[in-house]
Amino acid sequence: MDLKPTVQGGMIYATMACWVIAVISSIAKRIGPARILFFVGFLLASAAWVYRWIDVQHVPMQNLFEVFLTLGVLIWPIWLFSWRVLDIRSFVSDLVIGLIVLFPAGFVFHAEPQRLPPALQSWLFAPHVAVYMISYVFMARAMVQAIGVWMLCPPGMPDPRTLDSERATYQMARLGFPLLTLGLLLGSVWGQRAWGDYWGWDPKELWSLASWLVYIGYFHFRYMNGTRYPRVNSLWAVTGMVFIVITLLWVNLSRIFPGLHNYAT
Amino acid sequence: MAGLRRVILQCALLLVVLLIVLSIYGAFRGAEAAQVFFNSIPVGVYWVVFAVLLTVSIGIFPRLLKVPSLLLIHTGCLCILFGGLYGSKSVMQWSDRLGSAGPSIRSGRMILYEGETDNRVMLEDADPRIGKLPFALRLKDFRIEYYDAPQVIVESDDKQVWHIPAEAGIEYPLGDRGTVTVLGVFRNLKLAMENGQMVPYDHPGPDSNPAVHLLFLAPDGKEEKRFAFSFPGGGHGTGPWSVQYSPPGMIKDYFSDLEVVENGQVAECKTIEVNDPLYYGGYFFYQDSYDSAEMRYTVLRVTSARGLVWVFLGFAQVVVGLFWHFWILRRRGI
Repeated sequence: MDLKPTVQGGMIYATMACWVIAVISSIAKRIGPARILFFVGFLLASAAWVYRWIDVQHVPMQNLFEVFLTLGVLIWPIWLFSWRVLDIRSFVSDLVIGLIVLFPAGFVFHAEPQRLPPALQSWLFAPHVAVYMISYVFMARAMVQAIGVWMLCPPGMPDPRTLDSERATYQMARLGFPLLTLGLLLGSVWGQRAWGDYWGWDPKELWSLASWLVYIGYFHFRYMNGTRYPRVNSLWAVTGMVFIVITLLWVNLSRIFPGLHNYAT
Repeated sequence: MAGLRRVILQCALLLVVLLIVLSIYGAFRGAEAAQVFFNSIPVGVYWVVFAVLLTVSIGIFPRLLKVPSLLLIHTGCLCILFGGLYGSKSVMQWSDRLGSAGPSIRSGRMILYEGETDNRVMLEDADPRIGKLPFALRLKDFRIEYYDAPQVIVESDDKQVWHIPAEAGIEYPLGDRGTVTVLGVFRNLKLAMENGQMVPYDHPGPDSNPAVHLLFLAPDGKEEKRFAFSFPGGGHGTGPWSVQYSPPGMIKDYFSDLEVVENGQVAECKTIEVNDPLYYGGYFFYQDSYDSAEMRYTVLRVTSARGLVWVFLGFAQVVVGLFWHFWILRRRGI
């Protein structure tokens, strides 16, 4: 446990408090105040992110603390986009995702400012990480919808609610997948410029390839079978997110996977 | 035909699942072993089967030909596979045996001493041979940039403080207290007895005793030599000075000033750094390492650009195709 009695830590805790109250308000059918609190939490998280940028003097995406803070900032804009553009009417699940991603930033990872090592001083640093973060949020939302399919889908023929969740899973995945691919491409270009290899067979690269392939499998399976097997479709989406979590966390934190990306802890 | 298409799709799915399993296996093996594994003949067969299946798919799925985004994605994957195979160690070794005129150095390292010219490359991939480039490289200069430049903190007995750049040869005014000259900067200071006098020198090895040799010159012409060390209280002397050396902090970047020498002429000059390599004659030259003990040489990583255009062309196709298909066409319900 790493409590942060700092201005930045205070903003993270305040964001989490806003979102916890928003969840309670939403359950109590007080949707208006809940939405306002969701937005206030976003403003606080954004302020913490900007504060961090000024403090460390580079885009705050270097280590896991900064990455999870960035994920926390992305939750509200992606929720708004999904609501307005895609008509996906989720709310509490987005708040819960936001709380889950801010928890490691607030309580687990150290926040000591770090300077960028030479390899990270590249114009590709920010877009590579940012694109991955946005895709991760989409894929996390896809997973939530996929879990909904498993919870709603009775054995036998799927009902309309199940199919709605299945389609929402697909909508999220189809938005996140090109970004996931772009992240892989930018990483590859960067690897070529920094180390001389567009692909180094590093554990993090291989896990990110495995994540990418799971979604390839998902799209091909869904193309073959449509919505006939919503539970199987959803299983692909959940597996993809599990692989993403392994890529993001286990590979960096475990000593089982030594590699070029281990600085990002 | 519909049955054949279904079989092809099932085979594709099977190959995808197999590659997922192989990737996880590779991740547990580590980068070096994974590279050997994914370049082995059985996995090479897998890549070829994958490429054949993709080609057949493009031929028998009319949708792949009718929808340009899908065609881009699938031909992009083919380009990546082709580029990867064309630039792989195995294919380069085979083309060497067939007497190909192409480059035979896939990847390796060069050690270049300051002022010297060389074209020899120590090959990687457990290959003990030395490769030779058709041109040579000369290292004009190698240098390191730090986040915090090294400096000497000088404090007089009346609590005036000066921050002096720790660069040998610098003479710095101390107001009405005279001047101080930096005689030498040492990463690992040792003293040796020469002609009855203690002479400072830099001992090769890790930085365990960073220090600066200083010469104070008072207005009345009185001289005093002092050493400043990185710990407080370092630098004994009789003068009215307290000194401390703040050695360089974290490295910000490495630079090598290179010249490409071909047929006795300088064909190109470039200062390379991390994330900014030199490209010449089908090879990339990267800032890889350096002589951390005495800073006399730089180490460059050399890689062939063979197959690279195909790989990045394929990547671009896949990305453009995916955004087009999933972000634009799907929104229109296509």
